[in-house]
Amino acid sequence: MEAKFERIVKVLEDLLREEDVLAVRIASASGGSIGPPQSLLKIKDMGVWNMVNNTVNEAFTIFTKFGPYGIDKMYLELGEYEIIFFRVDRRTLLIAVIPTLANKGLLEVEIENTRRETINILKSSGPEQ
Amino acid sequence: MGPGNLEDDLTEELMGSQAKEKSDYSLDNSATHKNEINGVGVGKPIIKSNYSEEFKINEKNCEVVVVTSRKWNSQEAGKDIALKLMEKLEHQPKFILLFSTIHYENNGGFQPILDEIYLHFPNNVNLIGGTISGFINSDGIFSRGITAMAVYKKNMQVTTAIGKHTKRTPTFAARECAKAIKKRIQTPDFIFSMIPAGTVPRLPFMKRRRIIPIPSIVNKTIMTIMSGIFNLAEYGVGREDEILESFSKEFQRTKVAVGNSYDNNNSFTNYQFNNRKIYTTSMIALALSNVSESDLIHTTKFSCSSPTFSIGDINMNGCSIGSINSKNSLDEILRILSWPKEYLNERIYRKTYYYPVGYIEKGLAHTHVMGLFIGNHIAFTHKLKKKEMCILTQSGKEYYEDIQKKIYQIKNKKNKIFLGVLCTSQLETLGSKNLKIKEILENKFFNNGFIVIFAGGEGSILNGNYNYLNCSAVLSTIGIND
Repeated sequence: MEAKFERIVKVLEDLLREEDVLAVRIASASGGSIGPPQSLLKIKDMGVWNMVNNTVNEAFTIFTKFGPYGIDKMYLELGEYEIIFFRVDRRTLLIAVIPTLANKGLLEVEIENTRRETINILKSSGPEQ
Repeated sequence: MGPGNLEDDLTEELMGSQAKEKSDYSLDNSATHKNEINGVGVGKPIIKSNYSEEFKINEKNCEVVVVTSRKWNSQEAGKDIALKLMEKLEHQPKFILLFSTIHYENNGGFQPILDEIYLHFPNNVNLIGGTISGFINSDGIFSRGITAMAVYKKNMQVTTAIGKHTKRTPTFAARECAKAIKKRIQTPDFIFSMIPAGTVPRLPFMKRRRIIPIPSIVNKTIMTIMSGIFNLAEYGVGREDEILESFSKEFQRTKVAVGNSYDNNNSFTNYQFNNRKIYTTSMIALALSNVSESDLIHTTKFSCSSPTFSIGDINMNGCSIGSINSKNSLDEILRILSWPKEYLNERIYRKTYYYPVGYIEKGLAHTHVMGLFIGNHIAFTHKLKKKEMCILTQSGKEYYEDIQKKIYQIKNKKNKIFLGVLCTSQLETLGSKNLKIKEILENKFFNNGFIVIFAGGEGSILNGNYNYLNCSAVLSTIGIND
């Protein structure tokens, strides 16, 4: 049986095939993360992506603090990039990078589908790895 | 960082909390998985002569099946759709509605989708459809993929028709389409039509742009020349009003629901499907007769948020303006909206969605989205019919409440098909929150026989009167019931 992590990576790779999804991964509050291999990422400025990865803890702090008020998503505009944080659950975030000129509403639909699919995989039975 | 830490979290944290989270829909289609495992139809297309043997015979008077494919490759997606339909259908369908996002343009093209469908269904199954920016059905909301609805009803008469060159000769295209319908069905009960949406023009030596700088001294001349070139080359505005005006004269007693074929909100290309063929500048129609009473509601709820202003110097088939309040239209609209000039960049359309220009007449807001800025001229998505306009606004809450109210008002609740056409602007501005529409439909009437498409514009003809709008909703049921 395919492991949950492999299935999640496939779902993330599927999202990454969207023209305007430049990078994506799932990060946990403990510092762990899974995502497509770096060679598949389309973001040109890897510095931005590295910065995002290095500041995930801060993102979790914000999500934790605003948790009681129902925080669900967070958007950051960084020049030509937009970083989208989707809450998967209280200790897991789905992070995607899109161009600021992208049609965000349409992409958000597919990022939401990825979030839901990830939840379904995590809830399903089967080996973790 | 590796998956190891995440695994610890998953076992400890995620599984516990996520098990509590209720997911209201699943992207998984267990029925199809079962089918693939059993190998039914997979890798061995059903030969048309054997077609009837593949369907169970039963006494049902009507049948509606809606399916989704999320496969990336067009051939695989077409096959997926065909097999899913085959699995669920008990009769040969009388027609198939097929809506696809633009993604397949670069993932194998659209022809393999249609070829795969007709590999599994006989040529006499009518099919129409086109590209859209997204859709809602009982599987969820998607901005990538294909959805299809296959319908059978005993004694129902069905025909499809096309009218070519809608952007060059819109009136003629509408008449051509109407004539083809009337050859087979004189007075249809219901028509669903797709019309190509306007596209951002491609200018020589320039990338496709929404802001086209032109010196003001040659503005008017250039606008007139550009208008002619766009019409001849069949890009630019969709000229939907002219199409519907002509079409409405031919069908005074028929309910007509219309959606614009569109892309992923870039307005670069769009396609229309009619049976096995693909078009880019044709209106496509599906006409039905011998069906029960259908419903057709065209709604939009906006309010005026600015003082009224007068528009002038109209060009580009009535779609562009050169002056507002007798002043330069660009400067004046920025003043009215209190927008700085810095807003005039290629991202402008992300803002203009929220501020359509228009007027309210008989309770219906006639909304026009600013699509192009050519020199001092502002080009809208369709023809401006009044000289007095204002800036219209609507909240997300008003949008949902209006749609909910109108869905509740639908008279023929026993009809098995709900077909909705919403504006892509609603998909872009509200994203996945549009799932509320799915909830409304599922909760109230339509357990699975529904498709809502997000189109480039929405049209309707009721009692011979036509409306073509942006940011609106066309809500229809088709009179197919037991």
